[in-house]
This record gives sequence, structure tokens and C-alpha cells, in this order.
Amino acid sequence: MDNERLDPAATRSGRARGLRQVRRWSNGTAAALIAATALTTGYFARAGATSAPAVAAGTAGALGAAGQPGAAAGTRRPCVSVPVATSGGSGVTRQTVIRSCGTGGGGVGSVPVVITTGRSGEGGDN
Amino acid sequence: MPFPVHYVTRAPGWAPVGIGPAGAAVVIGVAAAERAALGTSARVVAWPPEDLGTALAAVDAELARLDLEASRFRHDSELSRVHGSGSHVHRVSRGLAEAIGVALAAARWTGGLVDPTVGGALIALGYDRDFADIAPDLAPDLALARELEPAPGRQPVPGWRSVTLEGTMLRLPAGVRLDLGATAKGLGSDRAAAAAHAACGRAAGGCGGILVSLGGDIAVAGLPPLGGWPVAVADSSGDEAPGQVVRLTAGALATSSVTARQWQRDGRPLHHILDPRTGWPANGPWRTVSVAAASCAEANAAATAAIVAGRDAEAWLATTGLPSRLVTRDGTVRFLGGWPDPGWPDSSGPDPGGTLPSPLCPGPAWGAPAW
Repeated sequence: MDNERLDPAATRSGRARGLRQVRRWSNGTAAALIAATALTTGYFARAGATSAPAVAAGTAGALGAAGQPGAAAGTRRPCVSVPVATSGGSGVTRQTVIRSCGTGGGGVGSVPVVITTGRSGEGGDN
Repeated sequence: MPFPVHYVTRAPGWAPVGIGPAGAAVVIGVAAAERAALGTSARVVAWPPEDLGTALAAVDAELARLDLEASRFRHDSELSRVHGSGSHVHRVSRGLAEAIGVALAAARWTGGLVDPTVGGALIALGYDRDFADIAPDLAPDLALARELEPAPGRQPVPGWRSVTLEGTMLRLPAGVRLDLGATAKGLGSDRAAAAAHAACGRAAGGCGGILVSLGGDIAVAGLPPLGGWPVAVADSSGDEAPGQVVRLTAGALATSSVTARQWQRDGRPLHHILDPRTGWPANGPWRTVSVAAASCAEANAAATAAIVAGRDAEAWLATTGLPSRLVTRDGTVRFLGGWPDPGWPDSSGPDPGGTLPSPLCPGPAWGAPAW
């Protein structure tokens, strides 16, 4: 050991071998970390997509104006371009013209959509 | 029809609803169905479409439960049994306790602008049965043209402070009749949306998103479609002007209007939103108010409270921070709390103030729930 320690050439050679080994470990560790991160990210992304909480107390309602450009790439959520419900107090039957971002050949344009809500109701609102 | 009908055949009573223009070959990836419920119409929208059957079954269960708990028009409901009992103290089910608790919380939050003890006043005004049996032939928009004439003999309702609820123990003074209309439909939407989302998750190992509308009181659960659930907001005016369309990404949206459920008594036009301070229909400047909130019960209560508050509505709503849309009797529309300006989508740019959240994001604080 003492001889090796005192031999500069042997020391340089040993140091170089060690550095190469560390680099290999580092590269391997980095690759493993990258793979693990990717797996974890994918897992949580999937979990988030499939088990998002229901209407949560403490989460305020969120509104956006319609007609905003849709979609984040890579998601499987549908793009809905026409109203799916009407909030207007019970007893309303209306024809609403909305701007469509239709994907089935409709393109952007105005389309009439008949929206029907209940004709009667129970209870006062106060 | 943009969705397979067989998705809903396992849910008796529900009719499929076409989303989008009739005949258009647009596949939008959601399915919807509608049926009568709680004296109004219930609509459920789900994605992916194959979740609809499971969602409808869960919604059915929740609506049946709420109807048996809180309807004042069913003789066999728990609330009717409470009203018919000679006792002042009642041990009620957890479900009815929740419904009454929400109503009392709404009363406290609104400073009594909504009050569940209006039941007796509604009965006295003739609203003592399902609305379809009261005045089907009344001319529409009777209350729109002008404010209602002052009515004689007005007096306050008993008041929510006369009711106490400790756990499931309810104390109700003799003669006090509860009407949970200002919060119950919203609570029903909240319950149904959450239950449907949970049921779909159990059945399919995860699900997308659910929207439940009870007479226009809307709650959503899970992930919305890209950009949010498109919802039309109507002011019930009966005109043919296009309604505003907003996108709901979370929480709930509810609308109260004096133009719905009108009837006449002794030649006097009446509507169903009572002012607890007078026991008579609210007589303010607003014909329709829509509010977005974390829960539909909260949105429902806030919208009704604004109608009752009259000229103080804007100040009160401002204290809540909730996005709101108010329509005056002459059709003027006011926006509060960051409600999207209808001109924004077509202006191809963000709102000038830069305060509106992207519809793709939950957004900044839209007003913390007050209860």
C-alpha cells in the first residue's frame, strides 16, 4: 500500500479508474433517477386523472367564459363546445345560439341549441 | 344523437338528451339524460359516456333519499311527519339534519335573507302543493314589468333563530313550517354529483366527470371536459336573445329568478321567492341572479339572498366575493366578483383587468366558502 501510494503513476492510474467508476455509477444513478421520476410522474398523472376529488368543500367554484381555446395536448378529456345544461331558474325553455368549436366538420360558427329545463318545481326558493 | 342510447337503458325513467345541434355528426364524448325529479327536471351529464348508467343509478338514489327526507309536498316525507307531529322536539335522520343544517347555515350566512321558516307564509299564499298543480295557465313574466304592489297585512316569518338543531335533535316551535327550497335543490345537486362520481369510480376504477342539474342548480364533480362544462345562463325573460354561456370547471352554479313559478292570488301576481321580513314575494329590482360558488347549496342560497336583498344585493354579494350575474327587471345585466364578461370570448384576448382565470385552471380565489 505504501509503495502504491508513493508511486505517482500508479496513483494517477488508480485515480483515473476511480473517476471512471464514479462516472459510471453517476450515469447509472442518473438514468435510474430519470426513469423512476418518469414512472412516478406517470403514475400520479394517471391517478390524478382517474380519482380527482368530487365537489370539495373549501374549493371555490370556478368559471370561465365560453369560447376559450380548448385543450391541453395529450389529455383524453372531451372537448364540449355546446351547452350541456342551463341555469336559469326552473321553468325555462329557450333557444340559445352559441359559438361552436365543433370538431366533426362544424368548425366555428353559430348553431342553435334547444335547451329545456323543468316546467314546474317544488318548494319556494325562500 | 351524439351518444349511444344503450348507455341509459338500464336507468328507468331517464330519457337520453342530445347534446348539440340535431343531426350534427359531432362526437363530443359526453352523454346526458334527463327526468322529472323533485318537482322539477334533473339532468345528468357524464364523461366518458359509458359511465352514464352508473351515474344515473347513483343520482336516482340520492334524489329519492332527499325527496323522502325534505319534501313538504309528500305526506310520507320525514319533514311532513315532523310538521304533523304534536311534539316540538324531534330526533331526525342524519340526512334531514344535514338538509336543515345547511338551511340554517345559509340563513346565518345571509343575515336572514334566506330563511327556512317561510314554509307557513308560502302555504298562506297558496303555494301548498306541487307547483304544477297551482297555476299552469298563468301568463308568463307577470312579475317582470313592474315591481309588485305592496301587499296588506305583511308580517315577518317566525325566523330561523327560532329553530335549533343539535346533531340530529331538532327543536321546532309549534306552528312553524320549514321550506328548504332555498338550499335543498342545491344540496341535492351537490350530493348527487359527488355520489355519481364516487359510484363511477368504484365501478370503473376511476371516472372522468359528472354534471348534475336540478332545475338549473348545477354541481359538477371530477374532471371537467377540456375548458370546463359549458353552461348556458338564462334570465328567464322569455325573450329570444342568446343566453350567455360560461364554463364551469369546479364547484357549482345556481340561478334564482322571480320569473319562474309565478301564480295569482286574489288577482295579485305572486312568485316563489319570499322576503322573510314581510312574508311576501321579494319586491326588489332584480328578476334573475346567478351565482357560482364552491357548492351548489351555497350558490343557491346566495342567488336567492340577492333577489331578496333588493337594492342591497350588490353590496352583499361583494362581501362574499362570489362570481355573480344580476339581471334587472328592465334587462340590464350586471357582473360581480369576476363573472366572465360575455364580450371576452369573442374579443380574442384576456379580460382587460387581467383578473379572470383561465378556464383551463381552477383559478384564483373565487370567494372562500362562508360556511
